[in-house]
Amino acid sequence: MTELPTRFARIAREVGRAGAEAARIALLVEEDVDPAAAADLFRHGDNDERRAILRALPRLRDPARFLPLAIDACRTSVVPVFEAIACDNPFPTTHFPDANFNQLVLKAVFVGVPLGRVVGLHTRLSPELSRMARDYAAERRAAGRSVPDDLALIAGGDA
Amino acid sequence: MRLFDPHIHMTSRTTDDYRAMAAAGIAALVEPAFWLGQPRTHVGTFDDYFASLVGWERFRASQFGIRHFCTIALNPKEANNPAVADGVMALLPRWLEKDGVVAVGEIGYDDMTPAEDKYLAAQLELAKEHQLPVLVHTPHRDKKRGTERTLAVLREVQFPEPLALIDHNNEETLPLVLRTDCWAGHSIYPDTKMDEARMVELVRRYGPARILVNSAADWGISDPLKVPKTAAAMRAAGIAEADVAQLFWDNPVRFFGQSGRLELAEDKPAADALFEGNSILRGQAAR
Repeated sequence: MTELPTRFARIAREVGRAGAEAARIALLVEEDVDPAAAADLFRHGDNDERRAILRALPRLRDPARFLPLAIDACRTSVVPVFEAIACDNPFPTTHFPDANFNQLVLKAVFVGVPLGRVVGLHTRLSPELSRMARDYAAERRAAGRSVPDDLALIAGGDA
Repeated sequence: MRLFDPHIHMTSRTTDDYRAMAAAGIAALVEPAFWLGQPRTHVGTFDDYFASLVGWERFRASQFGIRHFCTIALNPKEANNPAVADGVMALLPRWLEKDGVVAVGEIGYDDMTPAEDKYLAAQLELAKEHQLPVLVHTPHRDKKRGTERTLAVLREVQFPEPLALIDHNNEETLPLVLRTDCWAGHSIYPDTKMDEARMVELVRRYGPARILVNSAADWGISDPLKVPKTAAAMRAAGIAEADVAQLFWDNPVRFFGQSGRLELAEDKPAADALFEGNSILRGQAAR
């Protein structure tokens, strides 16, 4: 069996774990996967496979086609998978509508992902994102909890 | 000492259990695919279940520093459900290719029906094709006959015995398994199956070679700390430390290591490893 799902799954055992993500991304680009194929690989993927798909999105042909997959991926509770779309990845800042981008940023703060890793954050700052940040800071203070330093990056003034 | 629970159903357990297991020394575990306490009626629910075993559950375990591996199969009980059995068989090849899938299992007998015969044989062939060991459940009822029949089937299809782990043994079935080259698992339960004191006696009598001990903890009355508790019972009974280490770490590592997919070292993908070397970005960590 040398179908794409099999080759995609096996890569780490062929090239080693260190190079697996790069090899998976290269395979997706080479195969020119379409959104249906990418969604199928994602649904049947383990955490490493899912990370590789999300990392590959900006390099695929006509990346905007993959927006539904990228938005859905943000709903994961598996932090390493969330990081693969939220961090060091230009896809969200380029393609996400405001509502989804704001949710991604706030979720990053929630799960402790540094906002410095959200690509292009400074270009997507908005009154709504600032309001969400200030409300979250207020909620934390009301609960007697610490306010994450990163909220200052998006609060547009005093968090 | 690091401990290995080679059979536990963590999807049925809480984060309190994970925390207690880590605190008691459990560093790695194998979660076999099995049934969920009530029948599934759609093939798609198996797809989601297998996805959770290689995804969500693996992450849950990692939060507590526990390495999570799994086995994938159509379980013996649901092999009797014609509404899903063939559909699940069609899903298996794809899931059996995943990293961290260290055997085909649980397969074997429950009621010893013709359907169970058929899917046991078919999944032994799948294991050969995917070069994986097998984790074989033995029945609760008519256990001795079920174990004999299991061993006979392995011989008939010429399945390599060192790649077979026959599970849930007791005083009557262990000698049958040890006469072959198969490995023998034991499930330590609060009320049924095997208990700590009886397990100590079995090790005294037969030694530690090819013997595994698990909690088989699931959604029923069971105890996810039975592996550390049995290890403690072994020490209290004067079993040599080297034998304890063999039983509770080396044996499961050797058995499941035959898959070539038992990556015990925690390693991160290259991109994040690089990133974590960057102290400037790290300084912006939210907590």
